[in-house]
Amino acid sequence: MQYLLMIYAAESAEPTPGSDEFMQLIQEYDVFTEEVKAAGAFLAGEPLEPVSTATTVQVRNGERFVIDGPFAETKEVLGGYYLLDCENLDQALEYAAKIPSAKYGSVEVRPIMQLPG
Amino acid sequence: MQNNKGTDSVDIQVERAVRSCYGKLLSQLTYHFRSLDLAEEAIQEATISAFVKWKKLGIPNNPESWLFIASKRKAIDIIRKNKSHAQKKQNLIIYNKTIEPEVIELSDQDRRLELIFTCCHPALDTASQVALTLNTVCGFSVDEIAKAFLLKKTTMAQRLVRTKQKISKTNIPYQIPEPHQLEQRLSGVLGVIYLIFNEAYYSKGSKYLSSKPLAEEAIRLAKLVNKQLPHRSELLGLLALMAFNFVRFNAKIDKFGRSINLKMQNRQLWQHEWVERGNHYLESALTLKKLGPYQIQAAISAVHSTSKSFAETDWQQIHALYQKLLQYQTSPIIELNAAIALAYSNKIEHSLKLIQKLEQEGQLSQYHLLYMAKAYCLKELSRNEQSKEAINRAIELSDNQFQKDYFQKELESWFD
Repeated sequence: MQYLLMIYAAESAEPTPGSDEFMQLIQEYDVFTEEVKAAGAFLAGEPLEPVSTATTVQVRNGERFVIDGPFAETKEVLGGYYLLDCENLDQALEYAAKIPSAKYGSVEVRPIMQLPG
Repeated sequence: MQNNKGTDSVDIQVERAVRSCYGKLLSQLTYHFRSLDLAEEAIQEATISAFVKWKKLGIPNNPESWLFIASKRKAIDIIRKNKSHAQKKQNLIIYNKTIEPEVIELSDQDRRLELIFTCCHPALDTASQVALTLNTVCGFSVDEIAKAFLLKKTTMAQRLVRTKQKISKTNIPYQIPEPHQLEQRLSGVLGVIYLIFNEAYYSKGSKYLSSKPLAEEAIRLAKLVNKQLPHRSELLGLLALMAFNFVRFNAKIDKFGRSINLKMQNRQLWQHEWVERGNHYLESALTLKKLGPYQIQAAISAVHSTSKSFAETDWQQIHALYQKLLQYQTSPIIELNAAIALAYSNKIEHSLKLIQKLEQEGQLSQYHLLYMAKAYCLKELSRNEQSKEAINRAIELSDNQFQKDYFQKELESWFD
């Protein structure tokens, strides 16, 4: 079963690029990604550019609205994701807890909807 | 087949048989078919055929195994009839492995623990964990659970449906957690069991699901877990705590279902045979040398349940135990209880200081029992006017007429 692990964190809580902490975080992510790949669970996973790059699109009565910024203004923002193939929720939660950002942010785990047919 | 027993109608006997093995049946079917919905539907259909067949052929010798085999067949029928259902729920594969119902043996292995862990999964909110455990493992109806929790039936039904959907959509497994997760998950299970027990013990008086069977169900659940996961100190501690509290059960609730406080209880009604059980569990827990909050609370309850009278209670011991408890759990209620024990140990001024500090800190500033404790200390110090003021505040804050009347009586007896 597929689960999307969405990594949320306050950008202010993240280590500054170039710092030792940042390098360590990158390394921890490499280790985690290797682990899920080795386990055959990895389907996809990428970090996102900062929320300042976000653009939101809405279509209302056929008219397109393009708005600067994220859909919802929150302190913790989506910073990256993993799409994993797991046996069950417990396994997905195990992986979620291993995502390095879980130490200062939050990882939301959602099953991918299984469409019939 | 045997003849109908006594005067009970077959309908009642069917209901009783289903009720008595419901949790076992449901958990085994859920475990085999990996779908709670399917298991529930199958048991429902098997129950309907039991009404018909038992009337015609008499009550089977082993109603439980009859129901299991019938439910299993019904489950397979449902899968056959509704392949899309099967595909959605991924039952097809399992179905193929179990073409004939006879393939699945009525295994002696009790699967209720697996189901308990599913119901008490941290991905579900606590209220849903409690409701689902009562509904599936204990076999209580939606109506009964709604009444026990003073909720509308539709609200409870929706909660259960939502919870079951989350289990199936997110694929929460029916399994005992991995060893490295077991302790944490077990503590969640203990929390749910204790909530069920407390719901019964501090019940506001539900006439329908009378509180005692609910409390007994909590104890049964804990015993069931203990059977499969023995030598867990906090589980034994919880069993001891519930046993020591159970001593006072008959005296705790009056015939109107109202709660009577410790001081006013008729100790003649206490069931001392539960002290022995409590002692047995607490001793087993303590030999494991891993102290925890349930064991300490059990020890506190033990002191109360073995005291001859309220006045003769070893309040110093109670105070020391609350202090110990505070090392594990910080809560203003525990601090208040520690302060009250101090007051009854005749350390009035010290106690009053602590109570006033708690009042100022705010969390308990609307808590009626804080003002009763404060009133008691002030009365002991002969500060009568302030004491009366505190009792009146307690009366004002209590949401229960019976308790308001009791506070009023205390006031009159103190300042007669």
